[in-house]
Amino acid sequence: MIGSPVRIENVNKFFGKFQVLKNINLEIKKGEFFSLLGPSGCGKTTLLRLIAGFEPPSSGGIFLSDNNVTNLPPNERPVNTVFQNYALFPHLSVFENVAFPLRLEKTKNQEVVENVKYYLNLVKLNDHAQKFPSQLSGGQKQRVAIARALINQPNVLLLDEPLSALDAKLRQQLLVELDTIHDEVGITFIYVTHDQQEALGVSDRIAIMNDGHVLQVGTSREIYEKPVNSFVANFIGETNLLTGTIILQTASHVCAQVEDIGEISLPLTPTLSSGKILKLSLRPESIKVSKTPPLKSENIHIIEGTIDEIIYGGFQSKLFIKTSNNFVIKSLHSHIGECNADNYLKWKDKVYAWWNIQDVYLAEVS
Amino acid sequence: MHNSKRGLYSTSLFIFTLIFFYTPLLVLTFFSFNASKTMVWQGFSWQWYQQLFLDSPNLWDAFSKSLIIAISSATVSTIIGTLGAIGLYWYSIKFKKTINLIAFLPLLLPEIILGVSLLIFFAGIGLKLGLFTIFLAHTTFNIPYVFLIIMSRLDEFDNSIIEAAHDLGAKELDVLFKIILPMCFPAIMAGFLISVTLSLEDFVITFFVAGPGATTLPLYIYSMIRFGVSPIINCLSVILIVGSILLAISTVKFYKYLFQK
Amino acid sequence: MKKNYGYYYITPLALWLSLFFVIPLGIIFIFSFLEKGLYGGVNLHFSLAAYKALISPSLLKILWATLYMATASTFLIIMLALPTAYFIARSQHKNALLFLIIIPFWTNFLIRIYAWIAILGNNGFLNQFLLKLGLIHDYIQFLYNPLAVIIVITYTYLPFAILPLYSTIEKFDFSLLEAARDLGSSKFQSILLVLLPNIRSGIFSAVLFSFIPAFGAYAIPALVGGSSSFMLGNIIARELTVTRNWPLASAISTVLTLVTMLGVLVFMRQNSLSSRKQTKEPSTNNA
Repeated sequence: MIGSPVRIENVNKFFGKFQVLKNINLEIKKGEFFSLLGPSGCGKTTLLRLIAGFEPPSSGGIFLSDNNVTNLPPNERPVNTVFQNYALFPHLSVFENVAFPLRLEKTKNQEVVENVKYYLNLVKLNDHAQKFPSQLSGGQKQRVAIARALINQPNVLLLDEPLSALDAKLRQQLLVELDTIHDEVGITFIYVTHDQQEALGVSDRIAIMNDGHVLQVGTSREIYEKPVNSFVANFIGETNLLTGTIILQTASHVCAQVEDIGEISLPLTPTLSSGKILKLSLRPESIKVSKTPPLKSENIHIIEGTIDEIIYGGFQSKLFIKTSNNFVIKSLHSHIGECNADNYLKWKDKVYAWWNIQDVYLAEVS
Repeated sequence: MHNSKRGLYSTSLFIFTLIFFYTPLLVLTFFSFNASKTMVWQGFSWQWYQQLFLDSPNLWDAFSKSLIIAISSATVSTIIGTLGAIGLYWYSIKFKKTINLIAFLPLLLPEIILGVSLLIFFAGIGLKLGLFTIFLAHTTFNIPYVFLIIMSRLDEFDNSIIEAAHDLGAKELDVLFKIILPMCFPAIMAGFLISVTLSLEDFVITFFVAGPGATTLPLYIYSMIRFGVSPIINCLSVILIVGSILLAISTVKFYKYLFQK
Repeated sequence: MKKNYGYYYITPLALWLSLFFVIPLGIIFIFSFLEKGLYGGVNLHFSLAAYKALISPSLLKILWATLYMATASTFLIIMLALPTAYFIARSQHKNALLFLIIIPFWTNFLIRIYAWIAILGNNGFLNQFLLKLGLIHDYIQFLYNPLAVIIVITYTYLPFAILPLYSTIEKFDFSLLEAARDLGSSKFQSILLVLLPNIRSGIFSAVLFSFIPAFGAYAIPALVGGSSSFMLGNIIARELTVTRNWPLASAISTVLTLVTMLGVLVFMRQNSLSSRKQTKEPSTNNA
């Protein structure tokens, strides 16, 4: 089995007058675990269906290993799909479901048995070969669907929210297995999901989509730490989005007047100049909170407020801190090291919240 | 818990409905064993059953004609209805809604309309009335039932099953013979059985399109009823009731067997 | 780009139904506007005679009687079907009870009519029974009147009402009734104001499935009705086979067809309205 690179060139897709894909360009590398991540309705599933061949693009081209496959029907593309709702054939046993593509090619029975055994083993379902889909749990069904999609030895495996119908624990477990299978077969995986945890966890690279556009392509770390705009910043993880205008420029910093919380210093980047409006992202885990003031330093920004709300979450709590002018900022506060009950932060406590100015990211300039 | 909450009103009316349903059938059964011809009990006897089985050649002739028509019309309507439902369900077709409506309408129209219009149509094209015209009429009213049953079965499956089959390399005929037809098999059987039952059962439409000599079982029963109450009809009723209950139970068992897989 | 095989699949269906359903219906529609032939059949002259005959006093009387009998039996059917379906839907043995309801209707349609003749006839079970008890001294004529027709129609079409009612009631969320009771409504009010509006589509199809066959009944009035309880179906048969007035038979059939189609259209409209309402509800809740 070999993976092949996938190239998507200037693809547009209309349903009637409604444009669901807007000039998509993507290069997916050979053997990559690539995720399409976005909210529902962003066009990610449509893009996947275009790659599979279930729908033709309205314009543009799709290339597998530099071959134009735009007009090939799904049964002639070296691409297979794992469907969200499994799409197992209810009248066939697990074994025959997986054997289906080989039976179509009239493969010799011995070869069929060997192959099916290998792939059922890969998804750990050897014991269930003779069962029917109705007798399987959701997780088992999805494993059958994966084995069935792999048996034809496709160059690319497409996965359309394959875990969304499963419960949280099972999802984690299958995700790890998917990663293992990917390492084992070595082909290109294109994985559609709306769940950022799934995408961040296993992908080599991720494309963030919204409203028919690809907004950003990058590794998990790049997307989390350097979001290209406020949508991505907000969609990936949780953040405090601050709006401000630049009022001062020094050799190494700019100073922005941020609504409600005052002046914030930022490291200088070339795109910044006076008068521009900024969207800044400040992750809750970067904000530290205490009842006593921290040591002042040039690199630290401090605000004062009261705890408006505490959501307890085990090893950490989420705090909503309200400043005197009613601005609310979220902070993730770790309980590790809080040995004395006297130190616990409580509702209505007056606190100091502070962060390192390096932790404020510029999400958007306009 | 809900049991205690169920109202007196619905319980008593449910029981009334059951009594209303079963009394006529029990009365028939009871009097089929009556020694006398009247509806006054005169003692137990098998004589009417003997007459029914040994001395009613016309009735059995009518029954065999009914059976031939039932099986042939059920076969043709199952094929046509199944293919039509598959075509209309999986493919984009012009006038889909109109075809759907036309396929449902015969179910709702009073039977007599179909009987009258077919009689006038057959007279118009000069087709001689007989078993063949009955076959045509029965196939016509059976098609919508098969169509409806297959449609609702197809509705249970997600479109992605067909896409998955194409994705895994299946061509058009592979999808039909290896996926759609096997998946619909229970529904196809149900459509066939219901067609057989409806055809065996139909009186009104048959009455209009049957020519002389083409006497089906319901037509024969009708002529017997016109002569008044007869113990032989009582016996025949019991046989038909028992027969249909056995058929119903075995159908249910058959389905349970099929769906256990 | 993709070849559309759908037309291969639907061709037999479309051909068969056009030839043996649409064209015959068209023919009777055309015949209803033609002149009657001398010995059956029609002459190819436009004429409104059939429709004039349709509104003659004698036929209007039969139309009225048909409407009366069909409406009365539909009313009886719904009154029996509603509580029965409700009872089954709330029972723990739904399938067994449904089976119990369906079994009698696997028996032949004529046999079911015949059973009522055997019970209600002059020499029937009921008369013999009452005579034996000495409650009556001479036969009572139970058959051959509108009431007999209504009873047998009710008997025959009751299951067609129970089944759609059952399937809608079964989907009904019964905790709504408890909520209504909790908010202070009486049991009767909760049924009237909460249950009935929510199973409206089921009630509507039950009415449709019992009224239409009742309105077009032929065999039942022919066997248990007398001259006072002729229905339109009997007139169609008479005009077709005895009087040989084909245009009139066609005109009555056309009217029956139009009434049915009207019912179906209203039904479909009703259904699409209520489903639209249902899809709208969550969004208004969110807002």
